[in-house]
Amino acid sequence: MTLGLGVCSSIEGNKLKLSTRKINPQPSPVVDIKSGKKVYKFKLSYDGSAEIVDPLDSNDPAVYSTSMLDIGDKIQGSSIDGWTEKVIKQGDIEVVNRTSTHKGSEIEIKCRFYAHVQTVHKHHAESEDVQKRHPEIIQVINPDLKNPF
Amino acid sequence: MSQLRSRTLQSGTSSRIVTEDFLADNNTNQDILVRFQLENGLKAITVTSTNTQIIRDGLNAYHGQHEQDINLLRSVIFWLRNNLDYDGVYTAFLLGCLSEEEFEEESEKFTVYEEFVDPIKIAQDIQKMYSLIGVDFDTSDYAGYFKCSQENVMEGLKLLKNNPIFMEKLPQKIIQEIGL
Repeated sequence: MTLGLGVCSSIEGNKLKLSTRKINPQPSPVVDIKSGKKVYKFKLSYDGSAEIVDPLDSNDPAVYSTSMLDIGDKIQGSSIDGWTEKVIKQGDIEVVNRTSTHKGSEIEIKCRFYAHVQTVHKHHAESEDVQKRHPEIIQVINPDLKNPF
Repeated sequence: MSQLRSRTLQSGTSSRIVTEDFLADNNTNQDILVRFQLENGLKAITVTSTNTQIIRDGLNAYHGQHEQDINLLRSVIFWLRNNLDYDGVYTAFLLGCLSEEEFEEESEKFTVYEEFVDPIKIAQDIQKMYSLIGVDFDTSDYAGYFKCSQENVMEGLKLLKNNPIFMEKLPQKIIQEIGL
């Protein structure tokens, strides 16, 4: 399992789990220039994360060579965006308790997807020192994440 | 400005506001704009005339200079309006007001076909957009606006390496590539 925190860290797979406090208005669907398929874009903010639940089939190449592809590979950031080949439906979204003080949304959808970090957690990006001395800070930001390293 | 002419008239000395010499001085058959300025507590009037063509040329030049800005802002508003409309359709779908088939049909109207866009145009438009409205969008937003891929947007952003706001949007690998 690999955790991607940098700008443009990305994952691809066949089943996706998203976690966020805010689902942004959905951008229009696009016909992706690389895959040539119509995909539904999504955008998450207020601490978003995306995780591979099912990986790509072995005969299905990744759209982006830099994407992480293994089960459990995860990206996390201040905002996450990407696309799914199927539209996210009401039944795919579940409201859960993320911390003792606020709720969040979890989305699980089974289809080809791509997700990538759009903006990083600023407090992470700006303080390498904090990362070195307090690696557990990731779990403070997102308690849902177990054993990030 | 050689065509700008002015006369200061003492209002108390004559019942005529515009003197005969002002009107007779090569102004016949000309299209001019005349401006009256009251000064010294209404004791004097400055009359200024300018050839209308000069004013018109100035306004046309101003309009031409800003026409591209207006077109850019118009396209941003159109893009945002389109996003709002699509989000309305998607919300209706989430609320169960539209079936999946109806949603598919409606969403087709909003589907964007990505194309390659010249990175120089992307850089110029992003910079202009930022100078006009003071808002920097995310790379995915820019990709939606330009109807291109995010990689294409990043090619454009790389050209704006003198602005740290845009460099924040690029991955570390690219920032190292461009030597920052």
